[in-house]
Amino acid sequence: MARTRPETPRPVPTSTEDVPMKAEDRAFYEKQRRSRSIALALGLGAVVVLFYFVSLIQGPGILQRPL
Amino acid sequence: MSLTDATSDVANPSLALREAGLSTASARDYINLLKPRVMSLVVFTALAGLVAAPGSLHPFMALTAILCIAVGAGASGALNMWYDADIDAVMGRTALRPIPSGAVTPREALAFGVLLSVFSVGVLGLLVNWQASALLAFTIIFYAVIYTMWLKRSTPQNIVIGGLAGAFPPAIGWLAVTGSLTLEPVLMVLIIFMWTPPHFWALAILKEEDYGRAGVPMLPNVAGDRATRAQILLYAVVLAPLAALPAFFGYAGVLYALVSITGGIGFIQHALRLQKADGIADRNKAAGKLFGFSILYLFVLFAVMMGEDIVERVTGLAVAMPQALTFAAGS
Repeated sequence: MARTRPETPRPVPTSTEDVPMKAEDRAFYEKQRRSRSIALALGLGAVVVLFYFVSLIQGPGILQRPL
Repeated sequence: MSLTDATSDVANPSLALREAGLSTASARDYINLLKPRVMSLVVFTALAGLVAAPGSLHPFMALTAILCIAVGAGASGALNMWYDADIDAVMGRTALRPIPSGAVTPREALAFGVLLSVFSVGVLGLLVNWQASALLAFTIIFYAVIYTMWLKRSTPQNIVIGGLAGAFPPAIGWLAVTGSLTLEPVLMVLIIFMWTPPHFWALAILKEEDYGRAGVPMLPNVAGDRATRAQILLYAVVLAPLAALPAFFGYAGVLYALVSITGGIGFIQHALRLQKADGIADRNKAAGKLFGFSILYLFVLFAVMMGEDIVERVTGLAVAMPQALTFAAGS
């Protein structure tokens, strides 16, 4: 009986560059991903600015107040 | 199956990308998860509470409080969309929301909602105060768990009790400044609480088929059209004098008194027209007008209340009702 070679597991893509997709799909995917990345960066930047200005306004005792 | 195979017979690239486990959501899809229109009303009423509160808050801290309340409202909207994705998919009004349209997966929406809830409550507590933060947390839980997960699918009074979540923002704004509540913010909450049922039942009359298809027990689907119209009128009759109370308690001025009384009469008139409407077309027309009027009514009430407070603070002019006309006159 002929032995069949075990199927080699398909490599897990480490980045979407490894995922085969049509050019228009890739363009669409990258456009969506870019918009998410920009929104996330703006959101995180806003949080940093928020904490920075609040610390300027409230001073060093920002977290010290009665409950 | 490779993605290339998947796309070969699919016109919509996002479908194939999602099948490959790749997120196709854009930033706009996430913004839509926050229910921006509902959020704008929440921000507006919270701002009214914040402006009306005695004492002062640094403008940047006020902005921080409003931002946290807005994000918290958005987070509860995202959690609502996550839980109600099955209902949203069969209703025309909501079928294009990010989850039923496939732009955002339910898991992404849940993670987004939880993350923003924790963030908004935490930041409001750390930077402003824990009283406002606690009420924001309660509001999010009330909306997402009590209303969305429990009441919405189980009782035609869903919007009556659930409406409390949408009524809290002025009290959160007030708490952000003072750290404690008085009768004035409670009145603001009560006004929105009494406004919510007739507002939503007018929409429910218009979307009766949609709600029926989705199996949501809205009042028109359960108690019928006549009973709903009678309830709308009843709530309008209670709401009109209630909305005028801030002026007669001395919390608002003459302009607010005039606007709330004329607006209240207008609200009752619209409810009466809906009550008397004959035939489906007439009824839908009256319900549509009442729905539109109710939004304008609440917006104008809180805008005038806020405007009077700002004028009083900036100019020092007393805009409050003459004491002889208030309930304090006899005391």
